Amino acid sequence: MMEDCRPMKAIRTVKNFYVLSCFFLTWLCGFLASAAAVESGGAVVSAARSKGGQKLVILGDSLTEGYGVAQTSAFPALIEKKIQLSGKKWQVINSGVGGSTTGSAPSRMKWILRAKPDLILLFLGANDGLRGIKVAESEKNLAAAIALAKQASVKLVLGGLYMPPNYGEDYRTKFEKMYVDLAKDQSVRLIPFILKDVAGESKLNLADGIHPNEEGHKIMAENVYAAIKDLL
Amino acid sequence: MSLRVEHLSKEYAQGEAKVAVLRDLSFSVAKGEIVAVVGESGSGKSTLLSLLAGLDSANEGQIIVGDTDLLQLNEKQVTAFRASNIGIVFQQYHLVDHLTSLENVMLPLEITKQSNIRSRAVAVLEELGLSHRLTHFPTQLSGGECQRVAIARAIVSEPKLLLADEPSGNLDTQTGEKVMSVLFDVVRKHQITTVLVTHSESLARKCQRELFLDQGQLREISRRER
Amino acid sequence: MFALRWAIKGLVRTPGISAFFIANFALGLVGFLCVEAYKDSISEHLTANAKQILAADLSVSVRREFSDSERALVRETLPPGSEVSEVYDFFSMIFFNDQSRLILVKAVDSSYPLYGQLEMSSKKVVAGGDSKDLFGSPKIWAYAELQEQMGMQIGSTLKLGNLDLTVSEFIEKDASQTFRAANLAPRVFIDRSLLKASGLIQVGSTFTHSLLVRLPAGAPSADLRSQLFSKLPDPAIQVDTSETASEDSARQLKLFSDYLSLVSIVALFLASIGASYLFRLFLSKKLKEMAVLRCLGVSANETIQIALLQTLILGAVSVFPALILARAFIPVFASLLNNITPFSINPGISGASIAISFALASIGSLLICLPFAIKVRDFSPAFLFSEFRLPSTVDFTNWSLMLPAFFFFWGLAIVQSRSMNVGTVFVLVLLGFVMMLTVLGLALMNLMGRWKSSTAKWNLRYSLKGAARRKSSTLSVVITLGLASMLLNILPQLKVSLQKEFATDQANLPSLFLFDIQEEQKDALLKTLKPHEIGDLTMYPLVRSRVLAINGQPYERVVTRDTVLTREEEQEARSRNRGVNLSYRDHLSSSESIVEGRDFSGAHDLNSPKPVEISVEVRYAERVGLKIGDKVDFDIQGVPLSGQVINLRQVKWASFQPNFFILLQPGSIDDAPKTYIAAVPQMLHGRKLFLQKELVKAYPNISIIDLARTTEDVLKLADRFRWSLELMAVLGVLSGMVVLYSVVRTQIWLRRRELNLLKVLGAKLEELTVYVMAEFLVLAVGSVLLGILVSFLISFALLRFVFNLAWHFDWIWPLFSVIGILGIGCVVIWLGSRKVMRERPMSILRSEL
Repeated sequence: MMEDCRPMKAIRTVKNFYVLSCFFLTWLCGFLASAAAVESGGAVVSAARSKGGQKLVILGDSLTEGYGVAQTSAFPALIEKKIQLSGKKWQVINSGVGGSTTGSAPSRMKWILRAKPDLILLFLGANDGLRGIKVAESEKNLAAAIALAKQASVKLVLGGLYMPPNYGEDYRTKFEKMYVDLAKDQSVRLIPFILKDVAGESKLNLADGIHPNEEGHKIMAENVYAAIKDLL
Repeated sequence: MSLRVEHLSKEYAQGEAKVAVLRDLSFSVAKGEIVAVVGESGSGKSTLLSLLAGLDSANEGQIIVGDTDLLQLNEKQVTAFRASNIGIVFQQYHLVDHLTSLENVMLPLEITKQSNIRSRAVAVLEELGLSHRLTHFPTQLSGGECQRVAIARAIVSEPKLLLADEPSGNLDTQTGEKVMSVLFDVVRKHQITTVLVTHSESLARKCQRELFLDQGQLREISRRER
Repeated sequence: MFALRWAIKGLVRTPGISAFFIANFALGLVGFLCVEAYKDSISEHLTANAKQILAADLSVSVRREFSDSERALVRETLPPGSEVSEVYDFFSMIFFNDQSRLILVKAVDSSYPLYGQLEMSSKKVVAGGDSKDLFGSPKIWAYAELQEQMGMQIGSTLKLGNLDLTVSEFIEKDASQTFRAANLAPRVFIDRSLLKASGLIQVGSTFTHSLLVRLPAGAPSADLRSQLFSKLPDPAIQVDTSETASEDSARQLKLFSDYLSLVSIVALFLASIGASYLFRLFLSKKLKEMAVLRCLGVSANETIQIALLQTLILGAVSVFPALILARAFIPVFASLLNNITPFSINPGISGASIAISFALASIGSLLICLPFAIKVRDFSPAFLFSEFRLPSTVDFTNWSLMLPAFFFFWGLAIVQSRSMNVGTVFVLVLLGFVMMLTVLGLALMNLMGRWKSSTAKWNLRYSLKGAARRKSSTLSVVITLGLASMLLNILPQLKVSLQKEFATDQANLPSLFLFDIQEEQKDALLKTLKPHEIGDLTMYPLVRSRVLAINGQPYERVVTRDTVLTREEEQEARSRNRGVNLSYRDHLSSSESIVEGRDFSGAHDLNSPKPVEISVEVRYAERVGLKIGDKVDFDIQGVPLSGQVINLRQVKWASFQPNFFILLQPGSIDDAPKTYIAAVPQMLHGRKLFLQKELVKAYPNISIIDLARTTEDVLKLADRFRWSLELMAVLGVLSGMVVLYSVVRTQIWLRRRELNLLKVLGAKLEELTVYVMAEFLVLAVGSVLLGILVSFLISFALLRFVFNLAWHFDWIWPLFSVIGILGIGCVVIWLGSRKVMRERPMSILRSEL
């Protein structure tokens, strides 16, 4: 009965003050990464195998996961549709984990390689930047992950990101350069900015200004598809 | 038991001023005698009655009941003395509403922890002509009956002194007379010394003596004066 | 006119009676006023806190720059006299001594903060109106932890974007710091006018632009919020009042506010019970006067008018001494209290509570008396004739006449609780309880009437006999005592359970949260932490997933360009489309308890066709609409998994242990890709700093959140809540005691003549005391016990169905209230008897009353 009670306004306000771990954790987990279990992770592998055709795995974070949009509206699902429309038999596996950093990249790469993918898109790093992790550390992690793919002779495309201007020119430059250097050093293809034409456009993003909305994901799908079409 | 009052004075403080209610009052009542105290309202009748009942303290003087000076007793002693020696009848009867006639009469005996309570109370009520009203509540009785129950309650503990405050004041003349004659009968039979405060001349005249209280002083009204 | 004159005359001419009723009723009102004053000021105190966090009454914000037209729109919507402060918030990097660090920049103007204050390490305290050295020159204020972490000093110059800024203050305490983003990145404050030069805010920057508003006193922020929502077309614009700023958190506050509304309603009814008892009595005392008037030719309606006017006047007049007393009492009480409570408040009596007091005292008492007044009309003046007796009490059985009073209190209850449902249920429960008490009263009277003992003393026998025979008076005592003891016991009962919810196990509070721990780092990390004597560090697995369907119904919401969504639908869709974090554990943690359903049946067998067992946090379940038995389909990073909800779990989030909305049966997702969270227990500050540095070096990917500020604030707030709960419970009990005191006092007063008579007949003080007390004790023990029993039931129901909390039995408060009520009763009786012993019986016995 007290549910409908409009509690005294005054008091309710204090909620603010008492933002508890309840919310805290939700937020926290937004940043959390998830690593692929190396052993006995047969599930993903078998799920991927069951559908047949060639496999494209997108290893990413909340951008790939499609945070805030339905799974079917996220760009990996859209790319799969595009490929199928073009008459090719590819299956796109969304391996986006909201909040994940490059720290999870090597172990997740190992996990994914067990599914024997034909092409891997490595779209990690956004959370490293947002959390201010040292660029050198992120670069090391990504390099390790790329090396694993190379070892398994799986084609890999690296997705780059720009940090928003508010992080300062210095950090932005270092961050951007990291992807360019990695691509050069490891000789992999680079999509310089996977959020091209999307970032900073309020019509294409959710109210948080960070995650693309459905329209944003469409543009991302276009961009990414265009960049990898020749590899399919 | 006789009653002797000597040089009794009572003052009340009214702010700074002191108001003398009773001034150097002296009188005596012989054993079994019935005395009426008359006087205008405010003449000090109720103060006198309170003092005689040991319910208030005086500034000076003595109130000797039998051979006990009430004013010399402490609170406890006076309560005990009153319970076994003094009976009081009120103008408004003051019966306990939620007790039956019988229970009301038994009350003083219960309080003083006596024996044969019930039979004594029944006997007194019979004596006052109320044997058919034992289990009635005061609200079911007429005024005359109530006052008779009140008288029964006052005398059931066989007091030596009976104080009556306007006992017929709440009753019509006929009933009043009837009840008073019952009272006189009982008092005479038991030889109870009685002080009766009243407005009623006819009632006063029935007493053996009349005392007139005026501005705190008492004077005897001789029968010839009338 | 005649009625009014006579009513006043009647009251003035019997100053004793009038004064007695006024004094007793005023006492009850004092209790009510005090409880209300405290309730108001506690809620105000906490509101002020909320405003400090928002640093405003209203905040309009968006994750981009406001356009000029939007800004103009906001300004013209605001009432005149509003003050606006513009703030930009964004994450950035600062550079100092070749180190860089993530920080949260707040670019403010000189009127910031509109509420609250910043406390500096220089002991300076800065509030909105103060002049600040931050403006006019390139300076920066930084959180004090930056001093330790980066080794900077006051006067150090650091780089932020294109700016070189000099540190002029370190901030120790920031009232507006929430837990939300504070600890991942320390805050710095800069002058908003420097933003342009910094080059940090440009196309593509991620920042929040806020217009913080301080409204003129009394402006309704909630109305403005909805106005702004309707005027500002972009759904991305967020309008928050201090009430809505973080709606989705802190259910404790909701609990607390529910508790306070209950306090209000309890205080109201305690005062009302006192009022109804006293006023009914008053009128029955006036019956004779009314009959006399009737005989003298006053019409029936005029006598009713007189009776009602008298209660009205008496009630209204009572408010004044009550106000004076409360005014005098509250500051004294407050100053005593402020020494022992963790907060200091200055309670004052609000206009609203004065108004309610007046309404209760005048209209309320009038309506309570209505049945009596009508009775006065129907009463034949014949009872004045000598052959009739004036009945000592009046029974009334005409229920329809009580309806106006019922509706009035129903209305008041709704007003006080601000809820139709709460008010209604409360009134109905009270009504039901009155019936129970009536039955109890009749049963007690039956017993007392039958009880016969030849050995018991007269006073004992007559006392019980009397109580059994004065039916209506005894009933009203039973009802009043029972209601009062029930009401005054509800709050302590709730308090105990709520406090359990608010309690934080200080010893187990974590000091650091580590997250993003990779599987392969887990063992190494434990090894690193071992020398720090941290004890058993639990690692909580976290598996990312999406909920695809509940009971076969798609859970995610597909939003297309053509779908038109309201603001709420949009939010709903976004929250459904977010992933959820799953975890698994084989036993519940100490901060969890199952409220419904059963525990996990052990490890899940992957080969079994049975669905995986799921445990869901109870509030989350409510939000999402999950019930026990529901089937949930997850997509765990590409792998489908079906589960079934087997229990709803209550989580004490204030424990600060890592907890999850959804837990799965162990054995189900143990192999899924996951990371770990760890909570590092409290440790010395120096050791913590050292450990942090070591961890950052060894595991650069692991993010560390320092919970020091957060937990400190939570503890402080929890402490305030606990005290407030305690205080309001105690005040509730005290005001109940005051009502009881006045009831018992009145009972003695009513029987003054009877007691005086007994005294004249020779009864001693002890005997008189026992005479009154025996009856009181039988009635009080009966009704108080029933009251407490019912208060258990009610508090159990409230906790179970309203607060969604487990009920904790507490025997101390009930015991205390039994002893308190009986103790007060006995003392009052003893004092009253003693007073009777000192009275001049002749004057009382001759008086009319």
